[in-house]
Amino acid sequence: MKEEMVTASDVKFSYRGGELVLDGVGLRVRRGEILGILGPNGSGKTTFIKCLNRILKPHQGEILLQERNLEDYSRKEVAAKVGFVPQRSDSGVSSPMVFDIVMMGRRPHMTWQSGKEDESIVWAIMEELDVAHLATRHFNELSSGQSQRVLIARAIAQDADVLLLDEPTSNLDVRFQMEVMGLIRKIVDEKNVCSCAIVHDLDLAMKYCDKVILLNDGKIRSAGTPLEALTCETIREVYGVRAYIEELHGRYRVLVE
Amino acid sequence: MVVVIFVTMGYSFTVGTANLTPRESYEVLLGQLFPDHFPEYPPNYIFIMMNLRAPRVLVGALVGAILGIGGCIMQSILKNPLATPYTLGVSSGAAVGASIYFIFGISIFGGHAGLISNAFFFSLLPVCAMMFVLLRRTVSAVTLVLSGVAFSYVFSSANSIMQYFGDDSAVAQVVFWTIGDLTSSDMWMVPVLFVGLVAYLAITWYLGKDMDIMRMGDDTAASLGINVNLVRGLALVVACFMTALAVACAGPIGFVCLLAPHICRRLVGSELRWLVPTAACFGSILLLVSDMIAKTVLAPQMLPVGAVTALIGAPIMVYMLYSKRGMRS
Repeated sequence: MKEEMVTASDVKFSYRGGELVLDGVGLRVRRGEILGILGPNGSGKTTFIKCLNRILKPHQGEILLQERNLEDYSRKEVAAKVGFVPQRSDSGVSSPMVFDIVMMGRRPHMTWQSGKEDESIVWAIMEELDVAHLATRHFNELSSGQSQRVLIARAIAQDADVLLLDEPTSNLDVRFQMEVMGLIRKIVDEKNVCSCAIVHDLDLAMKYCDKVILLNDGKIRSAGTPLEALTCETIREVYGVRAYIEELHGRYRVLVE
Repeated sequence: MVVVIFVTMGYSFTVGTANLTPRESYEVLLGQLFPDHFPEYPPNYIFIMMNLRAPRVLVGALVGAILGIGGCIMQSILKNPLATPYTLGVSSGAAVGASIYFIFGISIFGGHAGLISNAFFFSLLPVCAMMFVLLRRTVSAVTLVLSGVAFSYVFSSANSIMQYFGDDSAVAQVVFWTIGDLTSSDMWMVPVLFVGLVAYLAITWYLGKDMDIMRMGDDTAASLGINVNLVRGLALVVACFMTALAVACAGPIGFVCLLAPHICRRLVGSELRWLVPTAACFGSILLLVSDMIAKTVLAPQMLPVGAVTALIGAPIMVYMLYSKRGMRS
């Protein structure tokens, strides 16, 4: 069995004493796995993912990072282990250059200034993700696909073992969706890391995720491999639409009526 | 740019209402430092240089730099191109302090330091309140801007009420003070401002990288191991404190905070570690040049420098904004 990277159990969270957004959710991710977090809007997906790198602190429940309580890590240690790509990044007054953004990922590993080594790491990653030619461009000049790749590059530069991705394929066209998910698959396999990704597209989840959890109203409706967790019943119950799982050209697809 | 500052300062020393030749001005100045090497001048010359011109130039340069940096920090932290320390109520607070001094004659410290201590103390009120909240919970940039604006309104109504009851000459003094002027500069301010400026530069250099990352969003910054609330709170408090110091010395000179960062961003980009020193230099130069113009245009009448900075600065800013449309704003 591969090493357990993140284990969360019975996590409860609410914003400022309001209703419970997360009501006893959990997950388990091992090295080399992509876990898809699915569920309708407002089901607590983003909140959950933010608990996993301690941006938010759950009221109850336990989150273990490599079998050690997340609370016991320092900020910098968490940052060196868990990379996060948020849904949107707005840069306010003026936007930084692509190279600087990817370099930000090196922060948890720097003491004072970035060194030659950091620079070469950053260049290598930018080459790998095909954003090196954008190095001196400003972030807000990029297309959605390019900016998504840049943000993923930053998370990889972080050299993290766990990649948390909040809707990595939102705003992307079909080709880029496949490209980005393929990229994540490749990174997870090659670097032997793991990833928790919020995915909206059930088809993409079927194709790229090893496991999924399906959230509804802050609770887990079903979990397991995509085929186990995404069934006609669970989809109907959670999303309120009628769907069929069909095999087509050797892979399973979700057809929504 | 540092060279330009010194040239401007050097020239600035020689400009004034009194008829001193440049040579005389410098000999008086240097004579204060090395009494043996220079001829002695009559005491009124020395008085002009040491009490009027030198403090004015030095305080002007330092205040300009401090205001320039304040603008950079606020625009970056509050993610708002219009933000300055004044947005958070620093200047309106100072104006209330000044009003209390002029109209009621009440001040925290008596005598000479009354006005300055009042302005300083009141300009720190809003940031103290904000710090109080920030220590308890996370506050977003928008909330900070809005509460700052609210503070400004409270202060300006307090000001209006005081002016309503105040007598004419006191109200006139308040109005003049709020334009911003370097006439009340004094030699003792120079070391205070200088030490402050050095510390200020050091702190912004230290926080600069984290603040740059925070522009990508609080969540991103937090995921990279930054204590977002701490960095933001520290930057705000330091910037407001330093601006309060500058405002207490020279009055709320507007526009430098807004102009310097925008122009310098076009010169060196938006990375704070480079932007901040550049904006400091630019702020200095802008204030020195404005002050020279203020001293000379209607000589022997002096214009308030606060009015002149905006008069010169605004066209430069508009020109820069429109002329380089290709560059990112």
